[in-house]
Amino acid sequence: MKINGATIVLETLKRLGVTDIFGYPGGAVIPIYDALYDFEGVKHYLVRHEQGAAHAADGYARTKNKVGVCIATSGPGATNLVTGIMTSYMDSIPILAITGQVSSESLGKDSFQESDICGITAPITKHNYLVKTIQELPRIIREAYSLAKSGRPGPVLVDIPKDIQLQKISIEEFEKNWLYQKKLLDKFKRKYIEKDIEIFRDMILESEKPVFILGGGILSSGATKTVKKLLKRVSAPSVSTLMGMGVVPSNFPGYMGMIGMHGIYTANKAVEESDLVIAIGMRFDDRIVGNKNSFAKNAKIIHLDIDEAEIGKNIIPDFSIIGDAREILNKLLSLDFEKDFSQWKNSIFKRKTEEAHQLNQVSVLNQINTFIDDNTIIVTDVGQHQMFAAQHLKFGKPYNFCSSSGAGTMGYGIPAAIGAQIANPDKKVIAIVGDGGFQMTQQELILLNQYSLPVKVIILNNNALGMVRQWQELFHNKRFSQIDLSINPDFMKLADAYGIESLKISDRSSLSSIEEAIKNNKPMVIEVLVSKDFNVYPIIPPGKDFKDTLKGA
Amino acid sequence: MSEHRYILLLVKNNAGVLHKITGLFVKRGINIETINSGECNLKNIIRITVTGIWDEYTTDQLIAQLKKLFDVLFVKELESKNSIIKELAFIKIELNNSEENGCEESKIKELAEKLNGKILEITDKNAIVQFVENPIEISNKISSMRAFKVLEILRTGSIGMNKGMEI
Repeated sequence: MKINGATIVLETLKRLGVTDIFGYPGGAVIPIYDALYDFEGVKHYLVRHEQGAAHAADGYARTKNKVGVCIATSGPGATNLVTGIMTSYMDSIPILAITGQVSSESLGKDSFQESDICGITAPITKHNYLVKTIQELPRIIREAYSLAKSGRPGPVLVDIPKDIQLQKISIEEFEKNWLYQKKLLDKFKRKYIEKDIEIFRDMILESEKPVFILGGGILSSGATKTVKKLLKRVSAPSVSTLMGMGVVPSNFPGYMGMIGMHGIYTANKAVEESDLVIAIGMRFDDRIVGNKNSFAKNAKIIHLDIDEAEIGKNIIPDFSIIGDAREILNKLLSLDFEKDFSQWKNSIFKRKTEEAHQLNQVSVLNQINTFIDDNTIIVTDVGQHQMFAAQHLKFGKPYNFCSSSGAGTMGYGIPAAIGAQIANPDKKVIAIVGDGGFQMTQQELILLNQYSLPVKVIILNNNALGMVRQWQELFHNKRFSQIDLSINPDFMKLADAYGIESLKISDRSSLSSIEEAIKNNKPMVIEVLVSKDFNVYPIIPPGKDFKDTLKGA
Repeated sequence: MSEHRYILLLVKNNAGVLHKITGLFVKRGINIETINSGECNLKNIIRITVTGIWDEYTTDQLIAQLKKLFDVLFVKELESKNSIIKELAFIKIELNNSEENGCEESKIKELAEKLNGKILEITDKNAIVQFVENPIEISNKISSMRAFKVLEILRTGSIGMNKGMEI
């Protein structure tokens, strides 16, 4: 019995526990698609553009905390994955991208559909492989899969020339090579001693006004329970980054919401006033920090991260611990210490509840808030609606919010929602998108129909590229350049063309019909007409600090 | 403060590894002055010396990022005071024996000897001189060689090894 490279790919994935893959066939992966034809145990979802496959794998990974897998052919197929790979890279999301490549003997000859995808993706992958022999194929796929998930997660790409997909080896040889595993060097070793944990504790004990910044690293580490335990033990206030949404529920005692450029005013103020910032699994992105010279200027900073390279990259901390969040925080909890910051927590938390909510896009989100539960996953696209969602939506459970944070990839929403729905068939998935981003990947809508995925796509249509418009209004003398989308397609007809039911909401009184629409078990496109001059506030202008916050009307 | 700094790397001898390493510099818009790679005492491991003019923050960031590369096994900054840093240079000069110049062949032999260089080739028309020194010395010696008409200069860039028992 012999087995070819293409089947090895699928068999290896299956053994690694992969059940769903997203992809698009093409010349250099025809052998893999041939093997897929009667292969059992791995379900393939046919996207309509390779970018959608990468985003779907990303949405799958984020909401299931498991590696997402996508596949594309060589050349343009592979390059179409690039935006998606970069999106995962920026947010440390584990995806495995498999690309076909021209045959080994055609490499470097500018052959039909040849592209140096390893060269192209080197800066946006944790690692990538060009497979050279069929013998190393099982080992590489296995290694790539674990690499994506290990330490600080991220995308890994495996490029497989067509001749290797077609070559055959005996089952015995495959089994031998499958078992052969090189020892993976741990690139993210913990680098602290027990004493460091004690220093960590003492710094907390010595502080009077600490604030915890919760980052996405807590989600990838699976440390949400530990974090909640710690926050409860000391009754300290917390804030989160965009990636850290859902680490604690929105109604968690002392949780102030998202910080940063569009952060909740009182959350930013808490960081501004604190005397100790404890940053966990985050990287002080410029959208969080603003002016790095005045960020949390009254506070000492403790930085916990698994990636040594993040320590001191953007903000120089007073103290840092390099390692896995769950492990470190569990060690901290095992030290016997008591402290009660509830007075400080309550004083800043009181301000939060005084903030009034506004209308418009926000009223849609407030409407959504009335019926979302722990079984609802919210996926956003990128732009104003994304910030509104992060500011206003209420979350209960981790892994229920999915958004392109670091990369800010427009068009992420629909394909990521598809991935999230496939990863979580029992959950309700709502994609909130703008009219701009929607049109970047709208072709993937057909998957909702094809695979009966009950994703609800809510288009907040303001007939503009809202976030750019807002910047032009605030920072460029209202010179509105190329942001007008008054001429949009008829989204209702578009949904109809894809065989999806739709609903249009143009006044507030009919907002409540959203709930009804979302209850049913069918895909739905819901268009809500909103005003184009409704800006996201607060905003801290780029590079400025907290005191320059524009609160808006 | 920006100054000449030296990074030592041990990496797996895989295709594309140099691309991944230099890519980290490119991505940050950081210039590499010289880069050298070759075999070492370990099997399938390549030893690389990268040099450039960087400040401390940049160097620390580069090292931290380099450490994360899958193919990179070991990274450290070589401190020049604790290391042997050397460079190899070839200088090709034109020789012009004339009544006015005298015998340039003997002059170059004399100069090379004085500068601790080695003559690799010499004819009545040209000579190739080799120097193995630290980079500053090499620059000085090249200046001295300009007493002749220089046709070509080749510098390999620095290689370095830590003094003492440690790598």
